[in-house]
Amino acid sequence: MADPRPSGCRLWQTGGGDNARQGLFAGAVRLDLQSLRRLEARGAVQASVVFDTADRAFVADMAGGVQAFALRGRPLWRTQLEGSILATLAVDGAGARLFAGTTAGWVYSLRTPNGGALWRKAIPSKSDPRILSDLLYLPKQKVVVMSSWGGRFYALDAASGEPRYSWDAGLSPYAGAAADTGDRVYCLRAVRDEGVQFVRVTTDGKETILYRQAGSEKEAGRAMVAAAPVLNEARARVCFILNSGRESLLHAWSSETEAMLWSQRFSSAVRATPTILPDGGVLVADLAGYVHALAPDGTPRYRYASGCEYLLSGSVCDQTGTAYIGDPLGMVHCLSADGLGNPVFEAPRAIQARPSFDRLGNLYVASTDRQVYVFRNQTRL
Amino acid sequence: MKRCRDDADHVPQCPGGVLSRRDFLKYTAAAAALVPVAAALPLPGAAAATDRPARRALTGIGLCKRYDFAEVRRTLAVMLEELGDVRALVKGKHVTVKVNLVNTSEADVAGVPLWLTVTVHPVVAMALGSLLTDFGARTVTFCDQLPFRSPDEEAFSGYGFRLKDFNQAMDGRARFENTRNRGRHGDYALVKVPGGGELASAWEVSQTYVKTDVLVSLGKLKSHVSGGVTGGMKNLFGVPPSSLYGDDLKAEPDEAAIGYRTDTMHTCTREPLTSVGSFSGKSVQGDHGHNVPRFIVDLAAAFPIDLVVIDGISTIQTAEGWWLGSMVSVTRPGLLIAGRNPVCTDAVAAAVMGFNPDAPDRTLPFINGTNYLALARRRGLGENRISQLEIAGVGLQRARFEYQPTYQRIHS
Repeated sequence: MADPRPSGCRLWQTGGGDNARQGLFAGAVRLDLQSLRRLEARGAVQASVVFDTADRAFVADMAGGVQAFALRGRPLWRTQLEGSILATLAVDGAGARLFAGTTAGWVYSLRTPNGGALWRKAIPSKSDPRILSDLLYLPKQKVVVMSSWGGRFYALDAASGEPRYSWDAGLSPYAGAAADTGDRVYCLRAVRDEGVQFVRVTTDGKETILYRQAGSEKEAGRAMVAAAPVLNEARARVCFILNSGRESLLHAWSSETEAMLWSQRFSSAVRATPTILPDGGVLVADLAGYVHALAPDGTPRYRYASGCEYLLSGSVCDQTGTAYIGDPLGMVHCLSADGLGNPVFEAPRAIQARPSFDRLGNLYVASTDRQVYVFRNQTRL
Repeated sequence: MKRCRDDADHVPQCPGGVLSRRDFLKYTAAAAALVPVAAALPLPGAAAATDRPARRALTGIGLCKRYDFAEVRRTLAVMLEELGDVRALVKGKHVTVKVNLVNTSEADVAGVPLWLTVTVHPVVAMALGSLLTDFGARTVTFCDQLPFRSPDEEAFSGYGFRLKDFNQAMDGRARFENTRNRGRHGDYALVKVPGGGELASAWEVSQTYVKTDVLVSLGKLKSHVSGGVTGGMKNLFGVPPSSLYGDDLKAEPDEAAIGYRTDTMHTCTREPLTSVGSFSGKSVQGDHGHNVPRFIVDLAAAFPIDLVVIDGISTIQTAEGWWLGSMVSVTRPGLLIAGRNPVCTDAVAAAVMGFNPDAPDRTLPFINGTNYLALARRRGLGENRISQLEIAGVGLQRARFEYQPTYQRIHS
């Protein structure tokens, strides 16, 4: 049964949709798998596609290109940035600006109509400056948030790029932050000698450690922190993955009681950000190639074997509970709400990015073969 | 046409010019005594050290998404045929395949097994072995130094290499050898580095690497923090045995040693315990980015590789191994690369990864040190400039799969 308090979003302006990063589309989708469009990039595409209010689709690639396409796929512009791009872009709420972070440590603000650069800033770093974390735009504060391997999260003024505040991002940060509608930021970090921490940062830049998973220095150095926390404000909870060696734990944390609601252990680690189902359940794609579906109370519902040795990116879902996920063999899988799934498309090379939806419910699957495959939604929204 | 015999004592070929200890000492003494003349009197078989015309050879690229034996074999077969002369290279020969298996089989990358991340997948090795035996190879010996004192067959099994499976696919002509010490051989082989080398004048290694007609390097397509990229040439880092170069050695060589070679070949804080002085002392203590690339070139010069095959189906990026923790991440280029010249092949591999194989030192992907591909070209080992290279198969444009940049060490 669907959650009485609907969630998900229609306008996907960042990785996973909006700042909650649920991967849940606010509408029903029925894809026409025969009707396929391609958006061509110049490098492998490992970041999700995002959109603005004018329905432009933005594609960032590993050759450092950011491209804009019109709704029907017409190329609009291309801008070359310094460094390759893995972190999914973020579009500001009004849709006038686009933010990109590169592996060379640069953050860019681009005009969405033409790709012109508004500013660019280097993230301060004494070591490798790469930005891997999906970007986040906080509309109330008008800042853009990202982390680099310099080891800090930065909140940059969206208008100027000047740092407003920053906080510890831990070792080799990969995971993006998520935020609630009050612009409170939630993130994960691996801290030497302390393990992995789940942290909230308020609008004044103050951080609170909400949960710790203890670990040695060695364990912290090897802990993969790649999956972003996912917020479900309708249920006042945050779901997050903590990896520990070859295993992982999905935690559901209550933002009302500030206590853990439940935890579910998986026998494999997880790199992909979880997906929230329409009824409040959770989908988790793991590094053993399985998609796990959990009920809102954390009890397992089903497990789907993708046939690939591992899954690197998360799924997305519509309001019927149908989920879509790409795998490193290039397969796109469609999973029904009851866990029946099958591959519905095969790209020539690996899919390593989470898919996304445009406002019409068309599905965009980015592939490392330098294409984004667009599947048309047949349902009128 | 080279010929070989089956008897164990026969040395079919000395790839880099194997020397007796007496010869080696004679030559080094002569060189020391006649310094001004030494440059004009290179050691037999030695190459001049700098700026020789670079050799070139075709490199092939094939797309292959899965570790399915038939699919990998089919892809490799097309690639090797495209290279043109592999069949003739191995027919009737004893072939040694140095496999990139690294220094443990007991780790993984966030639970993803080593063969999908750090080491060569056994299916690729088996498919290659099957093709080589089909081409007429008499034996194919897969080797690397593995940190296990157990029998060779058992040591390899941790990496997914099962001799029974290999022999089934290879008509019983597969061999496994752990080259961490002298092994079944009575003594080590002392192999000089032509031209004197950058940091090593000779290597003392298992005779497996010289008692062979054909040396194949079977590597993994990965980033490497000190080397920039790995491939066919860097794979030879596993040739010097732990028994003489290992970190767990004390004052004497030890046939039981299983340690890695960090102290001798990365930080260069100690000399190897070879029977003669074999390192020049020109290394820079603690500077991996200076030392590792030079040793790579010295190994490639001493052990000429006849064929490189690189497993780029499923691997890791940013760095080379599980030991680098969360900075490495799994990725899936879905391709295989093969070539007859290791410099050309590794250069193509670097270009496939989205890097310039002729990039200046201390720029990406060689961000932490020397571009060993450019150094190898200057040593005459092969061409690394992509504009000068011929590529077969799917071609560079279609194959390209950009890696994350090599990890940049902290600036002091």
